[in-house]
Amino acid sequence: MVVASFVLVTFAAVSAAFHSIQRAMAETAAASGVQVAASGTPGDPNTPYLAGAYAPTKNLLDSVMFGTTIEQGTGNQASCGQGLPDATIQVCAYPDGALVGETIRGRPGFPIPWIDQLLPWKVDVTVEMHQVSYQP
Amino acid sequence: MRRTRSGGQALIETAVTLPVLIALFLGFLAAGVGAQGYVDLNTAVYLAAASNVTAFAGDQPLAMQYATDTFDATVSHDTLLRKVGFNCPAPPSDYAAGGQVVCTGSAVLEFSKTPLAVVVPVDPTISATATATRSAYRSCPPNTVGAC
Repeated sequence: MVVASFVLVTFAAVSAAFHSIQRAMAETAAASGVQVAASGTPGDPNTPYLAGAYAPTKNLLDSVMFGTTIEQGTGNQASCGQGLPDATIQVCAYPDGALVGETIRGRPGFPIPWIDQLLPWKVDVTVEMHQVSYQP
Repeated sequence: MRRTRSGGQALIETAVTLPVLIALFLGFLAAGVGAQGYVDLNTAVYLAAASNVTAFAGDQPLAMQYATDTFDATVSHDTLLRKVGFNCPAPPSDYAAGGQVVCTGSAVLEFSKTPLAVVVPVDPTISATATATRSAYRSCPPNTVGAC
């Protein structure tokens, strides 16, 4: 019983540590993407480059989101990642007044396949940045 | 008889070790939440400094508005962080073209909003600092007279 408890608690601690790594990387990835989104669109510098946020975000997320589908969403902070299946996360970039926001939301997969059905770990990260201004 | 003794011994061992193991697990979780809060604050300050240097050179109020808007909006999305302060003071910040800006933000990490308050009874104040360099070619605000 002691051994079983030890194994269970150790597994829970390792899972929590793994989730912390995934969430920290999501925060870094969102910060990377929102800087691109807050910049000007090629050929139209006064319009935020929302479509450009996805690629740098996905590149960073791929390294820690094992067995997870990463998709580009079109929603805002409230609607991003709603109704997604397990092991899927969504990346959404959107305007928010003078700011530009990026949200990463969903339930990542877990290295041990059936475990992600049991663990409540979710990623829900939002960052915002002021749009870049250009001299008129 | 032996079985009863053995079962009793296992029960006592479990009763002694389980609370320790649970405390260890909660400690791991608290460390994870603390790291998460620090990463979030660090990201908010980093993005705020990056926003600051996108404002026109020499326009400190506008640059501070960009930075503060960015910091406030990003911190507000973390339910466990409560803003304490944010500033990019000059000096040491240099708001001229090519100057370096140093921003510092602090927030209270509210463990008291979570069940982890059992193992972390106080809400610590954490802080982060970020630097960013304004482009040497960043232009002055429109209608500026003289250097900026």
